[in-house]
Parts: sequence; C-alpha cells; structure tokens
Amino acid sequence: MGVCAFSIMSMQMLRGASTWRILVLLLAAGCASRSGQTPRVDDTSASDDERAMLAEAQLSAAELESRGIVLDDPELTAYLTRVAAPLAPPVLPPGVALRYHVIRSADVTAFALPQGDVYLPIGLLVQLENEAQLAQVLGHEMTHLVAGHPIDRARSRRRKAVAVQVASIATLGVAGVLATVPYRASVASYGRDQEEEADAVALDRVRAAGYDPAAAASVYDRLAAMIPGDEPGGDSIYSTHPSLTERSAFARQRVADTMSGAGGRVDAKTYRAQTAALDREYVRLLLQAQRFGAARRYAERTLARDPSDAWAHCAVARAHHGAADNPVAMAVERAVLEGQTELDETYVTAAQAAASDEREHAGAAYQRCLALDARAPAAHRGLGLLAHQRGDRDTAQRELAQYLALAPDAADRCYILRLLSMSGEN
Amino acid sequence: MAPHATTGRGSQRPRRRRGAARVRLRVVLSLAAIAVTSCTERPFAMSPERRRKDLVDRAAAVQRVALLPPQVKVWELGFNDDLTRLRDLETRFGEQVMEYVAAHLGRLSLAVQPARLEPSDLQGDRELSFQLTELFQSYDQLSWRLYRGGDQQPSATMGDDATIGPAICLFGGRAGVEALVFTRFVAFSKSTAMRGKDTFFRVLAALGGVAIRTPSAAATVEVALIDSQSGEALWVNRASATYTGDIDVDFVVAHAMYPLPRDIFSGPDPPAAAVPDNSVPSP
Repeated sequence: MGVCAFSIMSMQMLRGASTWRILVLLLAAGCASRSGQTPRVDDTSASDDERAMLAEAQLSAAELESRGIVLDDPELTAYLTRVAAPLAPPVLPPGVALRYHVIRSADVTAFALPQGDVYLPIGLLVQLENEAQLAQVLGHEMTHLVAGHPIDRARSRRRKAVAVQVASIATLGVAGVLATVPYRASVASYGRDQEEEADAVALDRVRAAGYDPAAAASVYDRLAAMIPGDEPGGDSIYSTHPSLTERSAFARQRVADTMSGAGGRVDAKTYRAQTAALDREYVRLLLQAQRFGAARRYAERTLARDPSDAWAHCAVARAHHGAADNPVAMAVERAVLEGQTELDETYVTAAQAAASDEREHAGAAYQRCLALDARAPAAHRGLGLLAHQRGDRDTAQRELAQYLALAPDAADRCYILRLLSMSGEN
Repeated sequence: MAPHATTGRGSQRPRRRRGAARVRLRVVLSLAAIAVTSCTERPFAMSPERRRKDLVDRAAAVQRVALLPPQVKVWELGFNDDLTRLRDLETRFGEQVMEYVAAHLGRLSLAVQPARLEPSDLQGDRELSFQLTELFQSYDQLSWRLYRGGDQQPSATMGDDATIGPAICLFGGRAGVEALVFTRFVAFSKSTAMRGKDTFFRVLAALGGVAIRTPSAAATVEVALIDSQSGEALWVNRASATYTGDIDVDFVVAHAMYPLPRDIFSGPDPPAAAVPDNSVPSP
C-alpha cells in the first residue's frame, strides 16, 4: 500500500527529471539527522525539513476533513480501530498517534500521514474480501509509520509525494476523467526495501493477532487483478518499487517459508457485514468519477448475488446512461484498461458509435428497476431524461414529474423543473 | 516553466555587392508578396477561449453571478523534482483571484453576489462540503474535455455536452444567481536554490556572450461562467504567463477575462466607485 496514487499532472511534473539529483543528495547527506523516528512539530531537536513535513501533513489532514472527503461513520471507524488494535506495537514512536479514517474515494490506495493518520478509501474497502486482508493493509501502513518510513522518505527523492497525493485526492483527481490512470502507479513513493519490510512485519503481526497469514497475503493478488499494467518494472519512475504482482510473490513465499500451515481467522462474514453499506457509495463515487464501466461491473457483481436488488438494476442503468452521454469518459476508461497512456481518437469514435446501444441498455435496466420497485426515483428520472433526449415529450413530462414527486428534495430539482418547463413550452 | 529565450550576438559579415537588377527584382517580389497577403483572408490566431454558440442570448438572462471559492494550487519547484505546496501564497492568491475576477465582472454590468460557500460558511456541514468537492471534480472533468484538443479557432463553439451536470442546481439556488463562476489558478515558483542555479548559468552564459532570460515563476488561470440551473458552460477561458520576478495575479486574470464580451449582460449597473480600470496590462 503506502502512498501510491499520483495524478497525471503530478506524474508529468515528476517526470521532468532534474539533472541536479546528485547535488541534492550531497546536500541532503549533510543535513540528515535521525532515522526511524517521527518528531512532533514542536520538537526542537527535529530538523527544519522534518518539522515542515509534519506541519504540511497536519494541514493535509485538515484539508481532507474540510473538503468532506473523510467519511463520517463512527461505527465503521470503530471497527477499523478494533481490527488494528492487536496489530499495533505496545509502544509507539514519539509523535505518532494512530487514527483510522475512511475516505470517500473510488481509489484503491491506502496511505498514511506521518503523525499517524491512516486513510483507507472506500474503493479499497469494497474490494477486500475478509478481515484478514484488512488487517494486512492496516498492519502494512502501521509498519511504515512505526518504522519512520515517512521521515526517511522526507530525505529521499520522493519527499513531497504525500503533499502531491493529498492535493490530488482533495480534489478527487486533478485530471478529472483521467483520474483512473493513476491505477498504473498503484505502488509508489516508498522504496522496495521499505515496502518489503512493511509487508513482512505486517504478515508477522497479522499472524500473531490470530489471522490466517495466507488469507492476508492474498490481498496483493486481489488488488493486482484490479490494476491494469501492474507488471514488474513497468514504469521507470517506479522501477525501484515492487509491483503488486512482485509483492504478492514475496508475501506468498514468506508465508510458505515461515508460516506454513499456520491457519487462523479469516472473518469474511464479519467484514462483509461491517462494510456492506459502502457498496452503494462506491458505485455512486464511480459514477461521479465518470468511470461508468467500473460502476456497471460492480453493480452487476451485486446483481449476481441478488438479482432482485432494484438499486443494482438502477445503478447498471445509470452506468449505461452515463456512458451514452459521456463517450469521451468511456473512451478514457477503455484506453486505461487496455494499458494505453494516451487517448487515441479511435476510442472516442468507438464510444460515440456505441452510445445508442448504451441508451437502449439503460432503458431496459431502468424498466427492470421499476419492475422491482415502482417508486424508485432514479428509474423515473432516468426514463424521463432518456425520453427527453429522444424527443418523447409526454413520457418525459410524466416520468420527470413522477421523479420530483418521489424525490421532492432532489439536488437537481431546478434542472428537472427547467426541462419540464422547456418540454411544456414545446 | 516556459522555455527560456536566448539572443545571440553574432559578428558582422561583409556584404557582397549586388547588381541593380537583382535589387529591383527583390523590391518587386516584396511588393507582390505584400499585395497577396493583404488580399488573402488571414487565419485568426488559435485561442483557448470557449464560448457557446448562443452565448449572447443566454447572457441576456444573466444578471447576477456568484464566484465559487477558487481552486488554487501554488507549488514551489525545488531541486530533484521536489514539490512543496505554498499554502500561504495559495490563500493570498485565492483572495486576489476572487477580487480581480469580481472587479472584471462588475465592469460587465453584472451583480456579483457571494456564493456563501467559503470554508467558514460550510463549517460543520460535511455533506455540503463534499458535494462542493464533487462539483469541482465535475468541473475538472468538463475542463479536461474542453481543452484536450488544445487551442482552437475563435469561431469554434462549445456543444451541448459542455456541461457539468445538474448537480450545480444546489449551489446556484443557494447563491440565488443565474450563473456561477469557477476559477482555477495554478502556479509554480522556483525555490531560492533553483533561482540560484539559474543565476549561475546566466552568469556563465554571459561570459560566453549569450544572454539568457529564465522565468522564475509561471501561472495559469482558468475562468468559467456556468449556467446555475443547467450546469452548461457559457464561456470559458484560460491564460498563462511566466514571470522573471514575483507572480502577478492581476496580469494573468486580466488576460483571461479580457475576451469576455462586455455588452451582452443585462444586469444592473454597479456603483461607479467599484469599477476599477479596465485596461489589460501589457506583457
């Protein structure tokens, strides 16, 4: 895990490789102070760069809060704290107070700030299968903090990675639809040795806490399957950093070498019960991020478990509808999935050509949603907008009016009223 | 950063004598070239400005606008790809961007109202804060789509898909305006060490007879006028500048705002005292 996601902008900026690296390393060598400890902001023995980094980290935490990115769910936060408690060492380094937060992001990357704030995005939590995997993620981030890796990083070439990432997350992806691309850079910022140390220590702690280490180690396979282009050494910027595939192999080997047949708890049901409520928010975040393909696939996964879930049918419909209305976003998503780093116009043309099919699929899925729940506002809204787009004034009027009747406080009320008045005038 | 400009100081070369016929031929050819160019329709310079085809009609309904809190990022560029956010400057530049954009809009007969979406207004309302964050995300998506093709002919117009969606209703209603103004300001400033490196090379180049002028900072501003009910973009523009000294926010904001037509809005006249100078600073 570690600090992983980079926006396109930050990647480009970081790609502007400086020729002054050697000089800075020489300067940094002269300034380096302690290693492996996280000082407080008011710690007079801390170096200027350490104090500046901590001050920036605290501002970053405040920024995530002020933008409403941190999910306000005390029950879920308490659950994370309970799972993390047996993983923590008895004594924490000075300046570190562990706190766990869920953030409203469809990303799959956890990260930690040096003062002890650990952030787990909804996109990651919905992909994990059990509590053992969650424990591995928490143990990993905790190890980075306890081992002082953020401080070490402060003296390394990627010293401001946290600031860049928080700036990206705080705006939900600087590059808008291209926010999907950072998947490729899923593991970055910490070096290979530090990542392996964090993985190994986390596995030891997870096992000591009574979890099945093999189940915990499977988290890397789970995440690697989600990240396109996660091949070892695939990107020169991250070539010093192991890919998830490599980390999976490392974790499996460590389990085989030192914990063979250890067994332990997996707690899949408990985990699912605690996190099931995140499914809908995850799909909503994906739709908002214009990742319509991912939203449809996740909603269809929900439908595979429960075909009578009206909400999931509506989510599938909204994903198709969004894809029809935003072919460029659909093209970007397809290009990223296929490992492209630039958007070729053929993807856009293909997405535009598929728009009418997408609208048909959307209409059918809205109807299935309505068949299961005749009072589903999203279905009436979607059918009304589809009718408006094809010029069917009567259906548009009826469905949109029904939508407003069912959802009188809808955030888009003024927009719907405007459409109603426009179709009335026509 | 923009590439630096270089000027050479070459030695003078002896001129060859030319025949009178050759001189006459050159004069004739030059006159012919001037005549041809003046008769041909010259292409307009490409522009980052984007406007709706029906901007004039739509603008007639706009009397009141509200400025959303600007999205400001200021980075210090250090050695070794080191990036540091300059939060103090972000705050200061954010205030300046708001002030200058409001002043420009005021000169266009628009009533500029508070959006009531500053951090102090949102205190404690986590959900509204997040909705605002998502609204900015939607704007970023729109902006990316609008500018992915680079500059375009001034005659090109935005299509109906240039919209950030109906989620804007909530904020337009809260502010009680016909249009919302989105502003984005991104700046980079070189660290003292980087500036020192530039100075070192400038001196080195000067010793070799070459003058180098390297910018120490750069800024880009984007301003967008968005219909507060439909989320459609009415007008969007970008401007960028490099600086050899400190960042001048007014300079770049003025360049971004200048192409917005001034006689298309129907709002009440603002108080005369609140109208600052309309001149665009020369580069």
